[in-house]
Amino acid sequence: MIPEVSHFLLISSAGLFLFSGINSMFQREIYSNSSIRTLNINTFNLGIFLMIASFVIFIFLVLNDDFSLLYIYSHSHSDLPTFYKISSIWSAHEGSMFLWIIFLSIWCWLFVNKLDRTHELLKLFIMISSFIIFTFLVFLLTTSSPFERLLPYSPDQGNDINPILQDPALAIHPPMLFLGYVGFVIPFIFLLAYLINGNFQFLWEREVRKWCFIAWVFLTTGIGLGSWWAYYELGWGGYWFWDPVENVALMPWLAATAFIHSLYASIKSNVLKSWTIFLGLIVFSLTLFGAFIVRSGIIDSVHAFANDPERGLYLLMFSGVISISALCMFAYRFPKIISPRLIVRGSKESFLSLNNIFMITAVFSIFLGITYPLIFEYLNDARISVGPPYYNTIFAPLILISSWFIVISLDANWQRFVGLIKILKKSLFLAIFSGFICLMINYISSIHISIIENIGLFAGSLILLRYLYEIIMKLITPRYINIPSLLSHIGFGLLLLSISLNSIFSFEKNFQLNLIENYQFDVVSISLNSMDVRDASNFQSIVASVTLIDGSKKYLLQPEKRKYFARDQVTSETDIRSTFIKDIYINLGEQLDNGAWTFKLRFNYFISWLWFSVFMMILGVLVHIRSVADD
Amino acid sequence: MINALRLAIIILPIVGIVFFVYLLQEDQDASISYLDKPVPESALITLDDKKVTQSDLTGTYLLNVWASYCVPCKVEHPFLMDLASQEIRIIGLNYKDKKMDARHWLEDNGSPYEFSIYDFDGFYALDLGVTGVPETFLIKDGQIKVHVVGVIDSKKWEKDFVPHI
Repeated sequence: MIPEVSHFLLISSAGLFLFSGINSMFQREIYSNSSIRTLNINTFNLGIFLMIASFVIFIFLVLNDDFSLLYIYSHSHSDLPTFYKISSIWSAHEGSMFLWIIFLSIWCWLFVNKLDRTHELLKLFIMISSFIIFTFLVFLLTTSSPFERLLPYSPDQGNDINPILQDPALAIHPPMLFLGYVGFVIPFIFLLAYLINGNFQFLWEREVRKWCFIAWVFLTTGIGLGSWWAYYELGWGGYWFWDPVENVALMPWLAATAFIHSLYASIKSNVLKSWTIFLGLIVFSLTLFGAFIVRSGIIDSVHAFANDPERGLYLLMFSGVISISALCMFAYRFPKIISPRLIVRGSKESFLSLNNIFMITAVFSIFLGITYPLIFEYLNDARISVGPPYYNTIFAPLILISSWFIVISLDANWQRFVGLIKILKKSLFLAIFSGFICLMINYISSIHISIIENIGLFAGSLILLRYLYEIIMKLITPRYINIPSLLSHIGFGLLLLSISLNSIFSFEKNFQLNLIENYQFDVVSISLNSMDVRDASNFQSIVASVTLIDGSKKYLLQPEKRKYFARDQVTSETDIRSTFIKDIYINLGEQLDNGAWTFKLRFNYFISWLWFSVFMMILGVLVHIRSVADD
Repeated sequence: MINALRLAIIILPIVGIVFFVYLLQEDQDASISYLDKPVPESALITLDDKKVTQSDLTGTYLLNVWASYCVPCKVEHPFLMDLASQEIRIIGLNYKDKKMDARHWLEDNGSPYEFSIYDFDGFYALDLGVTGVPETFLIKDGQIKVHVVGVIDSKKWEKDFVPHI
């Protein structure tokens, strides 16, 4: 009974959105007649309200272990802690789609209610968002309903959530990521409304910029958390795998980063308008493309949901219609929005627009990396895979050039060219200096450093040095300094540097140990003290306790292996000790016939720097949001 | 120049979408495989402790892998009963189950099966290529034609089995 209530509320909400969409399409008096306007907004609000009510009831059902629902039966278990019962909602296709739509609607709802009641784009905004939400709800209800029931024989126990998903970082990573993805629906709908409306006098940038920055923060946090989870849970020792699903998250992220840069530029200097609008439309289109790739089963991936071509076709058609109609509108208005003035060569915005081009190139390369295997398979009936070497090779030159533009744009001015020497002198000097740093690292370390790693080192230290120079100058003579940009770009430089250093220095040792035995290399010595069995509510684990002596420091490490009862699945829990420059990462393997246990030990350098650099980038944007809010 | 750009902005994504639509239509469901391989031979007994002879396994029939502990089997059970009432031969393969539980299950829910093979250690299922319960095979003159993993329903029946009978 209760599941049907929730189901019914969601269907009603879809009906309300359809009504609200049609109403705002055909009601001409929406601005002149305040009761019609109120009706329209209230229908929209009620739709959101019913949808949230439906979701709350669904959460209630999950908490009460209603295994008569196929979805809850398949992904939950009565022994699960409450926190993971809730996170089981977004552990598979149907539930995560539900959450996705909820977030999409909440963003739209917040924005609609923030807009002025007589805002000229209000009607169009409500119309477009109602139609988008309606179509997604139809998709959810018809092809992937989470309300499917197992009647009359409902099981007494659920199938449990996959144990590797029982982790705090992973439980909050999808919601964060979804909030970021769908947050870009605001600029998308607003820009579409702006293009349809056709009044290009008014300044749309100021109305949406805060929303875009907030969405960017969520997206970055979501990707960061996902990467962190992969690092400590999957036990491979890496943090980024160029997996198709990571790639479809990275594409909107790159486009969004280009978008917020150009948004800033178009507020400052009134050029790059068409670029900004194009990027704003592209971010959400890429999000839709990502949803299609992940949910259609067209690509094999650790993340991919069940294979269902029907679902894929619906999503593809629907995303195609939305994106292409937006692009058609853009192409139609293109001659009007293109800025009459040409960008001044050598001005700040010229470097920004060059970097836009590079970021879009990066997006396109990833797109090619995802689709090329599909095209190849289609043409030749053979499978190939595109892996890290491809992406590293493509990204290295792009990063080299764009880091150069980042540093020289600091010395350029808005809307005018101040002379080649003035722009280049500091950066050239610092470039020589960072080249020198690269040479030093190559010389000191006995390890071979590849060209790509050298490029990363050079680009990273160039950006860092340039901004450090700014800080030093600021301390000497008081002058203007753009703090958000400073923080974010230092974060970016640090990111490049730590990725390169990590790739250069990290290494792995595989060995086996018996109790009280010892394994040694360099100045490191490892001994196995004991193996214990521990019991928890839904799993049993074997915990190794290992003492690692690294020079003068001593660490006690406890990697474990868990056996989860409900799914009979075994997982490996890595133990990690983070120090300032390196992470000691140890994994418990199998027991051999002679009674010894195998271990995998990795020394991962500069990992904590990497997380810190992501945090810096986010912090910079947060500071910027604050200063925008103060305006 | 501007017009070419405008055109490109629209045409390129459309080409991409058409390609993906094409691809999706090509894409096959991984849970279904169409084969042409002989049924493995083995000495088998039924759930009622009778020997299975070669003559029991001739002609065209469905081989449905089931177990009393399997919830999805309950889900597909009414549909199998339906098929059985349409005179379609279904032979059960009881997989890694307790004999008494399996018999009770059939008494409680009714049996769509001509008889059920009892495969306690799952060796016969292993030879067939079974990965879990429920699974269904279409066997014609000693050859496996279709193998479906998971619950079958009228939609799958029409689409995956009927054309091969």
